[in-house]
Amino acid sequence: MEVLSTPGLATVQDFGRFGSLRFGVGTAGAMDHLALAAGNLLLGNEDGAAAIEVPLFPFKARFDADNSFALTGGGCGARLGGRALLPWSVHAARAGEELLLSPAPGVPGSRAYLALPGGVDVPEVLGSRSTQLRGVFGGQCGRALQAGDKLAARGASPGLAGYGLEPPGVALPLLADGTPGVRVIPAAEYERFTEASRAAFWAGEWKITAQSDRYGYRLAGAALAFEAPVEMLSHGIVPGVIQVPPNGQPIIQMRDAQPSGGYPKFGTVIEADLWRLAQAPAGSRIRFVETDWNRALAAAEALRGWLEEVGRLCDLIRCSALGRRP
Amino acid sequence: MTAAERVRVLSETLEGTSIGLLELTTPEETIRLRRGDTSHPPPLAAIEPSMRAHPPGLVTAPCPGVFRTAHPAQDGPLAQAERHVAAGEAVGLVQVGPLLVHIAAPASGVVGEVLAENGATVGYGTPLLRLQEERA
Repeated sequence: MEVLSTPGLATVQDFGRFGSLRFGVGTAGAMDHLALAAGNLLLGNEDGAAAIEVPLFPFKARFDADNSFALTGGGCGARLGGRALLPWSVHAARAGEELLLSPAPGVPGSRAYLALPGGVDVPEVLGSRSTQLRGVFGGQCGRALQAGDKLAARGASPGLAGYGLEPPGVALPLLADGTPGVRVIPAAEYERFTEASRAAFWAGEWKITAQSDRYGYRLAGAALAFEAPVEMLSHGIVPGVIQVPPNGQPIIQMRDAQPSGGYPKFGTVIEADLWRLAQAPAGSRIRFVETDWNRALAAAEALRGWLEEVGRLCDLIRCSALGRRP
Repeated sequence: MTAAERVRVLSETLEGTSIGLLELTTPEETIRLRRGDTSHPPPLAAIEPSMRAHPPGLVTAPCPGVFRTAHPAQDGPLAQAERHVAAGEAVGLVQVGPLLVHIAAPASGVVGEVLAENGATVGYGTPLLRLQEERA
């Protein structure tokens, strides 16, 4: 398929590039791992196949051959050759048909994922097809997609279409006092914040500011104060870590986070909830819910269970004529 | 997926259910799985011809599940009288666990009477709604 137009920042992403943090290479990878995994399961792809992450709309592309694709994630409306498409679903495009993902403020989520049969065919670099924007490698020439880019699927079209999933935001909701919640484990410097700040962190709503992207989310809310000034040497950090710079407004590291940082760490968003954060649009509000290691593992297990059930049913529907368009 | 893989997936799925006989007919093949009986009973009555024989404009359930008149992540219903749809657009969904099977409009048209309730359990071939086809 060929990209016809994009406002920018659409990238090729798989789960990420692991094992190179010690060389200073961050993981990159899809902001919403759940949407990526679901798109791959819908098509029967390998677990780690690469898809296109689209955070800004309108995004327009044309299929140059008949092909199936899966659309997951959120934040947009979708049309193919003039007909409206359902989200979180497998669709079949005919050669020449144009796919339009357009802004849709009423639709939950903020990033769409476009999965192709077998995954997007870009070269692996250090074991991953993810775009590393900071390092300018991986994905499509190490950069965001632009008009004129041609992307091929690694697999043949399975001729699948006509089924989808209940979005995980509906199947696995997490609200705290009516506001989208994400679970956090207190981190190393937690005790060095004032008691009032610690209480305010859990009690308050936090706004995701416009200065939020794949590198990190800058939040706005009640400023968090230290008991005494904290000076630290740079140390290793990973996506999910919540750092607090001297202004007291937290920054959550996201998938393009650099592998080290020196700000004190208040807490860490659990891996099982990073997808919720990935789909929380700039300007929206979230709340933090305190959790611990065991409950974080249970949350990861719940996600695995949902994906297993999805995989089992997707296998079944591909067995039947239902999911296959002649 | 090969026929052998299909049998494996179906067998795994049937394990732990009380289903004694499963027959799956696709354009390419028919798979019949029967629990603990090695005899060869006659095939089930063909369901497909009766499906095909339904009156024009009647849209029926493509599989058993729970009928959904709207998508959970979209405003506005899919199955709503007087809604205009293009050929291939969804006019409703059948939910099976986390899966939402699309009910695609066979042609461009206008949704007429909706015959099944949102949330109703439907079987294979249950009438769901009428669609008045438009000639392009």
